[in-house]
Amino acid sequence: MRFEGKEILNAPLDVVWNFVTDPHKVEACIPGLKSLEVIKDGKLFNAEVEIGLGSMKVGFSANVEWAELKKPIYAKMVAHGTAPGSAADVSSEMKLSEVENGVELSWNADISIVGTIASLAARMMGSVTKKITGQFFKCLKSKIEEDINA
Amino acid sequence: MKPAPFDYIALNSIEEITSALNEYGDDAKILAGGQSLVPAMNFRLLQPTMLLDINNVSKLDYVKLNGDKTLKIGALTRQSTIEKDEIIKEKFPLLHETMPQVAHSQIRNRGTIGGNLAHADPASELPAVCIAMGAKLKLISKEGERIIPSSEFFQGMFFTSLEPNEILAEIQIPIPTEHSGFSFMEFSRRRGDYALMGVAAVVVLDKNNNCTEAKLVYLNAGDGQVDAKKAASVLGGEKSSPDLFIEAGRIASEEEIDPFGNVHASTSYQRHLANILTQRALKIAFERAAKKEQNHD
Amino acid sequence: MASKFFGKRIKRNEDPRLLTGQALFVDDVNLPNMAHVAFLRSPYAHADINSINVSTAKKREGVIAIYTAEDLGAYWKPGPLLVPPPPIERLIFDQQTQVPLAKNKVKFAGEPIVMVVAESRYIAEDAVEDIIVDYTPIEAVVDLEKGLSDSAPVIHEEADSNLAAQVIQEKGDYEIAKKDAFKIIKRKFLYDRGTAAAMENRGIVADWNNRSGRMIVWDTTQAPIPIRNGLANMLGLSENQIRVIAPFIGGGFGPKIMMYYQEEVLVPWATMQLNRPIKWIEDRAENFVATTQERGQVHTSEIAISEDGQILGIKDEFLHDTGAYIPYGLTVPINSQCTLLGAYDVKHYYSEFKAVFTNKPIVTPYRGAGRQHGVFVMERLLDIAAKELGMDKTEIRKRNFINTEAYPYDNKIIFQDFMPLVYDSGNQDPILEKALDLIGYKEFINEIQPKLMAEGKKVGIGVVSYVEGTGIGPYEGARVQVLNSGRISVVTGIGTQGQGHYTSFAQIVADQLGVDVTEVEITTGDTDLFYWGAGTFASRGAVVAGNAINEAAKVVREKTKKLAAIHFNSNEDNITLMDGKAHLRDSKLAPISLGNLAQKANPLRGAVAPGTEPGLEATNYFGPERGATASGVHAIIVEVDPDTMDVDIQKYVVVHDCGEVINPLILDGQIHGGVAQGIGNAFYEQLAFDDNGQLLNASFMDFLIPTALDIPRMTTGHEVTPSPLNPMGVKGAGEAGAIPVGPLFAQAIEDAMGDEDIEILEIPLSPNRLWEIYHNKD
Repeated sequence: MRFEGKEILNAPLDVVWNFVTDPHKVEACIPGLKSLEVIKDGKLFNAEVEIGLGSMKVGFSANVEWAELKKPIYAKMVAHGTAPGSAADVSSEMKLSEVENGVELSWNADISIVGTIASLAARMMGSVTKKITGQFFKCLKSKIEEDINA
Repeated sequence: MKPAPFDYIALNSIEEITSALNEYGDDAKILAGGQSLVPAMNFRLLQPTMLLDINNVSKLDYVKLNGDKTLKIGALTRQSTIEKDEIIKEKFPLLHETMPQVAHSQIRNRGTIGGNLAHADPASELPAVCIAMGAKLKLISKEGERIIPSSEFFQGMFFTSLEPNEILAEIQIPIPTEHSGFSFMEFSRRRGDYALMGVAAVVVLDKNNNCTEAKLVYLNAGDGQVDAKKAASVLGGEKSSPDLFIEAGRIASEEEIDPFGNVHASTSYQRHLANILTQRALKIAFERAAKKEQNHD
Repeated sequence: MASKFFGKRIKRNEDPRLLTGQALFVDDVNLPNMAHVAFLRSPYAHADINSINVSTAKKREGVIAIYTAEDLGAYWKPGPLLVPPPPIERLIFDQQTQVPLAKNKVKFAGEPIVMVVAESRYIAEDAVEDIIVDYTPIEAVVDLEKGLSDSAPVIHEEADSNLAAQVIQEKGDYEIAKKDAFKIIKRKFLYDRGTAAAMENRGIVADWNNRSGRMIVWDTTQAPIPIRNGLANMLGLSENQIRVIAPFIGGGFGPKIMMYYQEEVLVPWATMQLNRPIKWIEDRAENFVATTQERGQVHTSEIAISEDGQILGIKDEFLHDTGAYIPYGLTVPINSQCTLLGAYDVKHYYSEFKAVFTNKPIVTPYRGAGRQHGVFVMERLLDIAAKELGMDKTEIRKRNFINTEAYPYDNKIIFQDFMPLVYDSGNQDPILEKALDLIGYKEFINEIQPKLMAEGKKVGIGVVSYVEGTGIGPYEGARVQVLNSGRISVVTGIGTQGQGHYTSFAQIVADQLGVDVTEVEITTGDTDLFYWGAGTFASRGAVVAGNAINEAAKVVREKTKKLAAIHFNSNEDNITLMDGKAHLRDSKLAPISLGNLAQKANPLRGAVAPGTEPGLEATNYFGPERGATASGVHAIIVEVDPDTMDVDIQKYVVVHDCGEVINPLILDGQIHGGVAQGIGNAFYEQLAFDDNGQLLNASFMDFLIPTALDIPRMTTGHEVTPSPLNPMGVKGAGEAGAIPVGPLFAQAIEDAMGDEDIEILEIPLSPNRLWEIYHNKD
């Protein structure tokens, strides 16, 4: 499944860059985050997340890696998560560019889910994934703008 | 397909329920009919640590018409009871006609209306129908009760405005106005399946058969139930006509719903179905409203 | 032969037991101290396994043992090749069979990696969640054409490509046909995967007893005798140390054939390791990925046709999806190749297939076993040819049927039983005529359809024909015995999965021995009670085991009459067996019951005469020279809702010729069930694999099996062309209902929609897919 979107952030480019590449800032936007552990600073993290919507919840344990960082315009993140009987692989790119009223964050995410979740919950998997992904980037926007205004 | 370990308590009164919810909150799941909860637990998609069984709480199991104005249904009422209820058949025909399309009779024998609504599955019939009927929902917690419109209760896929310490206790449905007509239409692959698309339509006509109020609520059409207000608004002041229904169907299917598609239906097919079902449902709803009007003249 | 029961609509002997929950199924076997198994299965379709960590799982209370591939030692090896490739020149075959537990690499999602044995299934499943496997995913091979391209990842590393097999079979010379043709019509056809979805999933209970040195295995297998032989070989035991029991089974349909499934070889091994009885019952989620599947093929086919509609030749090249391994050899694609020719006289045929390894569950026969695909291609080509020639679709079929006088008819290619594909018998015209009559073909196309079409309704009719190779060898056997009570015991080696064997076999014996049908006790599927045999598959139970039973019963009849003759001091020609007794014809002497005769045949004093045997008993075997050819015609009337593209079946007719019919009631049941499965395949069921080889609909919520509400009432008719290859003249009927439903749907929907430019070239269909085909063309 591939999703993509754009957000215009009312903030300077370097602020946006520093925010989106700092796991301890981003963590506020990771849905259902239980714990975040830095394995290799600026490169590799471990996250325990409980992903779900309403009553449906599944715990994932994920490795997150910055595969590519081109300060301050491009970042590529690769994550591999496992849940009992299932696994998820995410590859996401973010492109930052300065526009008239701030910074345009254009993003895409390739998400593949295998195992029980994919085979038994396919009816909702697509919309759940889409919703969570969209929420994450919307959240980034609001947190960054909050930070600026604070 | 065996569930992960969990604890279980059988509760006997509303007070016991609210106390238990206070104590266990988010870790607990309420077991009513178990028709969505238990499969999800067996698939291990859901691993609650505590099940609160409310099946003994008979005070939550009733259907009554209150002062000829509002139908009150206890949350623990089985779907099959609602399906067979004579008052509902006579005075709330939209609900009555929808019931047989909610899964299979074996599931309706166990499944409760409260469980169905609290699960908030966007593909489920009853949330859409509750919104179309203007139903209100009574939520109870240890702190007291609150009554909210169903349109505020449903917050998207599997999300409701229930707090962790609250239980849905009662569904309140206003009696339809005299000059109203309705239709529930869904398209599913097999009888009893989740609909690929569905719509609940309610219209109210004046003496000249002009539409004064309309409601179109879609299921399996987006993140939650889709209340297509724009499509409904084009019906205002209008008489029944195929062109009118085509326009309403077009607006709802192209502009308002946001289906995601699944293994049985692409998003474009879902939109197409929404368009077709809208036209079919409105035709029937207008006819029914007009007939009632004639009967009164 | 007197036929009081043979050929009669008799209610099934087994039904009271089955319907009141008294029948034994594998999951009903509960033994003291029994342990339970759950498997960790790969979520990935294609991945390297880097590490497996079971340390937490081992510590969980109630866990007895955990096995990975490494723990199996020498027992870890690829499973046997069950059916070797047939003797066809130029054949290529890459033997890759499944391993008990994946070792370094997983090749389909659902492949077992770790086996957990625990005190309960609950604990076993909890422990599975404790296990951590580290994978490196590899691009999955899902699409057949891409799978053969040079850039595709190779699933079996020791091979150069994903080519599992290549087979060319030819009759005549297609190039000659092409030269003479009035028209060449070429199309690409797609037939996608489905699963049998038997009501009962697989299951196995194995109980090794150290003291007796014997093992009992209860197994949901269609072929208990081969399973016993294979297990003995793998476990280093003698055949006499293993008793395999296949009790009542809730549907076989092919995937429960002698597969030596991973679980089927692991549970008997583990019971010996742990010296405890062990049970594994497949759950539905497992069944969708761990049980074999069938159907995926892509055909590129052409028909060379004369101006008057004669088939001059057929050329068919197809790709066959065999899944991750190929343990059952080439049975399915060979069936496609052979069944394509149908009941038609085709002089020139070129057929070439390539079987392709994919990262999907293993493919083995499932009801129809490849025949569907061939029938789909041929029937669709004929439909298109008829349209292009402006000919009635039933007329083109009539013109090409093999003449009744031409049987036995040699197709000059090799069938799945390694024998030449020679149709033993057939008579197509009356079958077609009866079907057209029952569906009301003329009236429909001349009156009803034009009238309804004028009203804006989209109604269409379909008529298709097919043959089914049934009743193949090698052989089956049976022992028939008169018991002291006068009841008759019949034991045969095949298993039973709902076919009504307890009745149809009883009918055969009841007629031979002059007893009531309820007096005959049938025992199937217990290797301690009958040693020899192959199994229930390929529509062969009634043909092969049925004839063996008949022959054994005849011997018992003669023995009984002989003994009765001694009793009456008369000649055996004067003895009649009737009502459970031997009567002396034209005599006032009281008849003697078969029970008394059985006791006399086993005397406590005196001697059994030299050269004779004790008891009224006989064992006999039957092996047909080759398969018997059944055939039939299905016809349908449908109405299509042009807005939603939903299809409503208004009438369904099956006329079938399976030779002599033992029990028309059971035959109707077989046909009805087959058609239901065929309708499922054609219009409801589709296994939705994504690009990662992940199955997206592994539950009955999303995999749509038609229910009783979706299946129409059917009208059945029968023609009888006895098979010359067996004394009873019977042919198999198990798969006939399921075979031709795909092309039937396609033809009827095209007819209803009336859009000359649109052709339906794929199965399964759905309202969504039909809408795309008709309204949303790109």
